Amino acid sequence: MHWQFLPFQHRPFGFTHDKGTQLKRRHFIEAAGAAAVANAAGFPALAQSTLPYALKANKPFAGKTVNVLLPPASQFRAQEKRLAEFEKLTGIKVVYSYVPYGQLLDKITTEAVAGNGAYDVIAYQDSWLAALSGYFEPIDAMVKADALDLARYPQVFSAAAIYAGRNYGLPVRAHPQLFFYRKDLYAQAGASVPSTWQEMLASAKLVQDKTGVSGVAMDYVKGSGFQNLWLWFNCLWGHGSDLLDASGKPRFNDAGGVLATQAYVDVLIRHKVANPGSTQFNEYDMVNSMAQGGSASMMVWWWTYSVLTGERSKLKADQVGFAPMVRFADGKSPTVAVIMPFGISKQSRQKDAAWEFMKWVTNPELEVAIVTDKSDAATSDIVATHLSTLASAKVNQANFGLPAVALKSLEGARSLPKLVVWPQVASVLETAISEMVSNGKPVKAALDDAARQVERITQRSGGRRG
Amino acid sequence: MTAHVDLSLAAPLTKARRRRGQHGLRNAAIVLITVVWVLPVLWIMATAFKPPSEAAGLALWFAPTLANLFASFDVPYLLGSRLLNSVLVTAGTLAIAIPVSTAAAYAFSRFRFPGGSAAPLVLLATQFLPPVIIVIPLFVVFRNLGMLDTRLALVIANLSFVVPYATWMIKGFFDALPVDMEEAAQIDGASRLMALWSVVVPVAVPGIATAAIFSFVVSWNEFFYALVLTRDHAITLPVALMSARTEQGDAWEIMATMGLFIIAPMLVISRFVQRYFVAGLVSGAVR
Amino acid sequence: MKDRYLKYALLAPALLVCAATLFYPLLQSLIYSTQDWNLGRSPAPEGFAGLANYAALLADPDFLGSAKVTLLFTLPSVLLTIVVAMAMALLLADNGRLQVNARTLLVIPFAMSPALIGISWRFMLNPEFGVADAVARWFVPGLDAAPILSDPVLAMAALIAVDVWHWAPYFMLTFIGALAALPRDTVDAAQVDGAGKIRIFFEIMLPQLWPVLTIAILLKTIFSLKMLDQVVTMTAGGPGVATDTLPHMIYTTAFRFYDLGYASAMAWLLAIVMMGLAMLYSRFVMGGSK
Repeated sequence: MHWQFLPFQHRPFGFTHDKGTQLKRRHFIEAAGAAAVANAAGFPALAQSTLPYALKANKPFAGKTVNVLLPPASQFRAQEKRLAEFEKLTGIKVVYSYVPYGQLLDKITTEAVAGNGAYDVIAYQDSWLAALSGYFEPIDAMVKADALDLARYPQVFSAAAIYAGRNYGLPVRAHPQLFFYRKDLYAQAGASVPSTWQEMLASAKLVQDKTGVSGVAMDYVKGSGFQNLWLWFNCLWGHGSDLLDASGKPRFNDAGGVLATQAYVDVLIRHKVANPGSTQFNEYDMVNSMAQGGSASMMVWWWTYSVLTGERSKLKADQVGFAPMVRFADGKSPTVAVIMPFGISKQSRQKDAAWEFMKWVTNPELEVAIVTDKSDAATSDIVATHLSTLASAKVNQANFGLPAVALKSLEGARSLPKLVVWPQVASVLETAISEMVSNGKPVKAALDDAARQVERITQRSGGRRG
Repeated sequence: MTAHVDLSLAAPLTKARRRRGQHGLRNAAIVLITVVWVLPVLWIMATAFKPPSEAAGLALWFAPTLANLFASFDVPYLLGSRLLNSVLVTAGTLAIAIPVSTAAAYAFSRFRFPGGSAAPLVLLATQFLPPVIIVIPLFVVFRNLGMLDTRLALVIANLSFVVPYATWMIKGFFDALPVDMEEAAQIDGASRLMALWSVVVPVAVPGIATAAIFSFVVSWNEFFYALVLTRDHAITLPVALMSARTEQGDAWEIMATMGLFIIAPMLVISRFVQRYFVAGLVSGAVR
Repeated sequence: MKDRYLKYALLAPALLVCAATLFYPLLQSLIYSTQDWNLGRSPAPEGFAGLANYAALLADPDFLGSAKVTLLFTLPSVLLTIVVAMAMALLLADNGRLQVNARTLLVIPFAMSPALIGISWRFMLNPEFGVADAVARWFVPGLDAAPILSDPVLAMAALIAVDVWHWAPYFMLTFIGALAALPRDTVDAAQVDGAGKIRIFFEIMLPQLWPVLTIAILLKTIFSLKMLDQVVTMTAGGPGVATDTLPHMIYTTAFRFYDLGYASAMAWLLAIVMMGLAMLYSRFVMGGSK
């Protein structure tokens, strides 16, 4: 992290590095710069005459409307509540159009094929980018022109929108993994909070034996967007294997991959510490299982904390504990992160205005304001993507210390591989996992079959069907 | 000109009716089947009144709450406006579909068209492609007509898949009615159309009623076209239902609440339509 | 003479609505099926491929597997629905208060949208707190501990059961309406002769119900072949590929894999099968009824 002095770039509040001289000097430079510009433009030299977040002054796009397509989330509703601020600064009206999360991709697809630029900014999952890159506008030039510092994000977040060397968006919503556990049950059983997968198994077994509650909930079911693959990737990378090798051929069925997959399914099959319903659980069921007291731990995205302590849960806040995501053996294996960037649609007729919006909606101050505002349940969220926000003491205080723990999970985190044919590959893989767990298919055989299919798919993607 | 056709062909005969035991057994069977069939729905409906923490539970007893009801009408679900859209779209669809389908059904039943008996199949054949494949070109059509996000577009889209099925359902009923009925009326001096209206249609009313129920339900629950063809203004209930599925899982008690509104009109309509069944049950055509 | 104009006049509105709305989309999808087109590579079709998609489909083990799964679903669901619907119709054909109220209530499952049904049943079959799961285990104590929806056979059984639960009430209404129009005299005569109820049903009532019955079978077959929402929301085609029906495969191929040419070809193959069924129906069934 290096803090360059970039004129006109606003510094986030709550930034707890040594304020002292650096900030004073920055203030001076900024103010001087502002005065210089103001004088040049013939305006009175007010300290606030330049706009924050590198927004263009003098409202060049006033009167335009930017349409945003995104799924419902309290974070987005919180942003929506504050859109008036953006309109005041730039005169641009922003309209949020919500689409059910499960249908977001369908909607993006239809609009991409037949649309007429109805949406200017679109939220998407990082794993969809490879197939959709042709429908988004690269923002590299805009980032450079406005000197946006992408280092303000964890590397895995900012890299999520980069495909084939070009940048297709800014991370607005992103999730690291955490290990959640029942503090009371762990205390009761005398289990320790694990930091590795092996420790997790041991603790789960102890808790299960001592308290009768299932040790861990897993989500092995096929469907709901390949949810059963996230933890599989933890295992795969944790055993030194990966999806494809350098030449693009599948390697997940190599020795490491087989061990990894075996480890993944063995939580249920061999160690028997997984909730028996896990073969049918999707991510939501898994979270629900813990929230209803049916399981003592789970490994999933950080936002589930609000579900575990929310009105849908039978648990109280002091029963819910969280720790950085467990890793393998040497404790250095990567964790998984999933990111939802905002991108500018290639069909948009006002890309400039859309870029102004992007700059505003990704500014760290807005983020801090949202994650520290717990006044309304419908707009209170913990999701933040800036390193500064995650490290901020104020933010951590408002959010039970979750962001700091999330930062630890983010060390060495990776996002899913970006392939144009990822949906097909994911489908093959999630089916394979489902067959191993539900139909008892042996791991090596299932992986070999899957590798054959993946090879066929990746070969086919280059050219004609065959 | 009407004689009575007593429906209860399957009911015990006059003699057997005196066998009280059998009657009681029958009624018991009816009650049992109805209860078992409807129990899952009752469970879902009950969930609409459960507080969120209980929504995922098996508990039979819970403190009912109206909070979900209020939440559904509020932002972000906006049940009120979605409900209105659904009502308008479905009413429009029905108003057009029933007369159009009845006319077409009669035409197919009583006349020959080029292609013989395969001709009516052409109408049905338009339904052999799944909506997911048609939706993209359909989207293009409405986009070019500037009709995206309008209720009219949804009505037209609904009609395109309601009319073929409704036509076939009503056709089956026309097919089962002997032709001599109309001929008798025509001998009496009525034109073909008048014969259709005054003689045939009343007898085919149960069939038309069933087709109406089908059209209503299918139109009311139509999801995929509604998802693709609407943006903000014309969003209907089924799309709103899916918006209760967030990244964080299902707001199950909200979905159940919306489910109530999805089911409720059906209860009302089916009760209302029963009248036509009863009419058909006690009146028929003279032979 | 007047009849000739009348018949076209009566048919015209229906044709207008269906053909006009669907003509372009149907034609376009047929064209797509002959194109090589992956949305991830290009926003428009990439090149004429003739029948290559179709040929590839017929050799595709996934497609053939999905066709098998579709048959496995369709045949039992149609059979059970029709039989159950007829039984319910016979039971509830009276016009007593009990029957009327029962019919009103029974139609409710039909009124639920398929997506809602899939979500609700998945919820009720949840192994931890699902009421249907609890009830099933109570009735069948020998049921394996494994969740129902993650057993390939049981998941299919659940899908079929839910489909019957959804559709049978509707066809019950259809059959009741048909029973209403049956002439009573032959039945009376047969009963006077002492014929048993079963014989009466099969030899007298059934033949007269034939037109409505066969249309019901045809329509239910089409509905079963096109069923999608419940698969998406209840099983996602799983476990493994045990419930991956053709409509589901078409959906995932088009909207997840973006292989629009291939998906269109798949849809048209399914449509051709349905057309074949319809032709068979018109030849052997309709011909016999008139």
